Amino acid sequence: METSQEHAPAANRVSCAGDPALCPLPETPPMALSGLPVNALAHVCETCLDPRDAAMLRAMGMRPCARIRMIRAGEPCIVEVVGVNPATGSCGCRIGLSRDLADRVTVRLSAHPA
Amino acid sequence: MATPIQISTARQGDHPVTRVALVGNPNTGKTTLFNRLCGLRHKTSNFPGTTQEARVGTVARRDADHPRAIELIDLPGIYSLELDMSEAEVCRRVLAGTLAIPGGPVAAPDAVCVVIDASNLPRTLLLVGEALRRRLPTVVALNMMDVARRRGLIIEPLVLEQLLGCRVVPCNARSGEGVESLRVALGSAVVPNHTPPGTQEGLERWADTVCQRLFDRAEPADVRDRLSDRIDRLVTHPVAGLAVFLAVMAVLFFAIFSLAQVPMELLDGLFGGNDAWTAPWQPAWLQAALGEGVIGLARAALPAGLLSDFVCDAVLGGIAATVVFLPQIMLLFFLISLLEDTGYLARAAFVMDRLLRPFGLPGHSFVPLLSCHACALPGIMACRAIPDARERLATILAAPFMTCSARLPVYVLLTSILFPGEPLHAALAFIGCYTLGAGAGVLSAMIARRTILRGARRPMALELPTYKTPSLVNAVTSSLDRARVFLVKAGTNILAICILLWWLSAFPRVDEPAKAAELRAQAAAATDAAEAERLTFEAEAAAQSHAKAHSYIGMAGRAVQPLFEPLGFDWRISVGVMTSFAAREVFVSTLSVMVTGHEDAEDEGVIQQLASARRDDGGPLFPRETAWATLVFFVLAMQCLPTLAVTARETGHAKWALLQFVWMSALAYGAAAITHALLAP
Repeated sequence: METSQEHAPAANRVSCAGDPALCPLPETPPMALSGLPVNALAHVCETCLDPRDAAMLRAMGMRPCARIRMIRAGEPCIVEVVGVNPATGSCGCRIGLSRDLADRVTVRLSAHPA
Repeated sequence: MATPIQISTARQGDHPVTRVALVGNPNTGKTTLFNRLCGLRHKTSNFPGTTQEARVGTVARRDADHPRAIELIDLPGIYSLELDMSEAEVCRRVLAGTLAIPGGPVAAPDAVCVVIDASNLPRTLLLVGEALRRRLPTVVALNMMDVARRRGLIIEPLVLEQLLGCRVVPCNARSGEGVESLRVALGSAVVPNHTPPGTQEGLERWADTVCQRLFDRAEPADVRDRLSDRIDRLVTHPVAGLAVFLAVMAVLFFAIFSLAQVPMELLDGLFGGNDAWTAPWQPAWLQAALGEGVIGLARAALPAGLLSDFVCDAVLGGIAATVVFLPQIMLLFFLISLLEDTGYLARAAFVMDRLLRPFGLPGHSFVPLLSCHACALPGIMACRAIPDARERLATILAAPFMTCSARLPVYVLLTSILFPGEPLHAALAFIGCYTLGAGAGVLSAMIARRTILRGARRPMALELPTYKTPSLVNAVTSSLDRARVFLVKAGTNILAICILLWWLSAFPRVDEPAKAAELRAQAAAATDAAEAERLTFEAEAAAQSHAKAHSYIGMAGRAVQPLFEPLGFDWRISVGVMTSFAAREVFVSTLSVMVTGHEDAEDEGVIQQLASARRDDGGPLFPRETAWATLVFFVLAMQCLPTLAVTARETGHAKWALLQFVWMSALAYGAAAITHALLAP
């Protein structure tokens, strides 16, 4: 079976700028978004995707440094984009992602599920 | 210093027109706002040279102080102007003035209105920044203020106006709050007094800074929506989600089939008449109008002959064949719009994505493919919701394989011939036809995706909109919009095709056969009125059968008969196949005319007559192997010119319609020939 990677243009890597003032990344180990438990809060630190998918996700609010909350893990995975900074208000938008995409988004856990 | 709006050279009546482009993210209420501002005063067409739809409407003017008419151009919903997508390209080109606005000049719009979701500013401001960089007079419609308030967000429009450097109008498109202020603001938009940074990172920082300054006096409340979390988990669950989806679709299609039945029968009766509507107490003129319909009245009013045949059979028949689809199309789009508005359809796309993905189709394809079981025309039109161009094309190519209602009379005829008095076997054959059609459709899509439409499988990423009560206004507007597009674009093609087929089947004019003349003479001599009527009916039948056999289409049927020999078709079945290019159900009425001389093939007696009809060589017209081959042929063949017309229109190229026709015809021919060869004694 053909996979999305076979014909995908070379993936480009988009990471956080690393400026702690702009992006206070938690000191937890990086992990794939698809491995994040339900209700956990995390920061997006890197996407390694087809440029078109990366640009689309970024425009939808899933950009490096964005805070997200996992609503449903698996296929599809549903995340809520909470925003970049608590002071700037929440996006409150939900994005459904196929596992293919969620596997290639790296996050750092910032709060475990309640 | 802000620059005042430039007046376009375009004019409407005595007043110049201000053209305003409406841009916004999906799910920000842009369409609702457009409907609120323009109502039904809009036209829907495609941007020239693209398959992207544009709605251009006129904003109602309620004051004499602003005599300029405002023309609103609803651009496709996009997340960013810079994305590598056809929707974004259309928006970029319209704002740059390099793509003509439908019905307007190739020039940049006079102003741009960016619709943003007040409850989701950090993201939606990015599009505002991109629009501000175009240096066009700009107004920001701060929509969904009610949702923002519920989330505890306190937004000062004046502060935001200062931060953005352009007019900001808070509004709620659903309730109409603030829409009047927006209308006034659109007529006096100014060029923004500052330009956001050009890079993506710079733009994101700019949007964050704007938000930080805007919200520094308020702490956002905890907005966690646990009910939506639970619903999302349920409706996207592999098993429960599928069950919910099937239940929703069952209700949807039951509603379409059952509710559309009444207006379809009314339309059918309006044109063709309905004896059940007549009653003895009605005056004679009303009985005639109800019993004969528009076509019958026209036939009675016009002198018998060519003009009467042309008006009644070609023009009115063609119009009737077009409008009869309207109830299903309108209902389908009305219900889909309601479903979409609830926020459920985006979740459903993920459920179906699991099943369709192995065939190279996305989850979005399911609703269009299911719609095709009513009629392929609305199904193909519904493919517009599929974002990826290749996946959209593959779905359109697969769509006509689904068993539409027009195939049913053919299935009824052939299964009745194959299984007389065996309803269970006939039902199983019916199910087999549905399965064969759907299987051939998805396999064709898979072949297309691996050959001519080869390309990366786009993994799905969709915004899941907030659950909300659907808007009836949006649903009615969408339904009327689709009906208008169908009547103007597809309807005119269907009518032209009907006229062409009428001409082919009505010419050359031939004299009545001797048998018909003899029957008429017997009818004239008959003393019993009932007997005279029966003989006249038989004379008409003989004349029609003779005329059909000697028409251009009849001659063509005889000429192509050797081509259909491997399928076991005789020349009359070949004529039926040719006439059914207009619409599949025509096969049954044509065959009925050729064999029995009248069209009422629903009549059980007629089916019996067709089943026992003989060929010129004395053999049965439908031996078992020919009946099966014909059934397989009609399951797979593209016997529907209106569908080809809609495919050409929706894909923007006649080549896709041609490919669809060639592929389906070749597949149908090959499969029917194999069936015939396997079953032949």
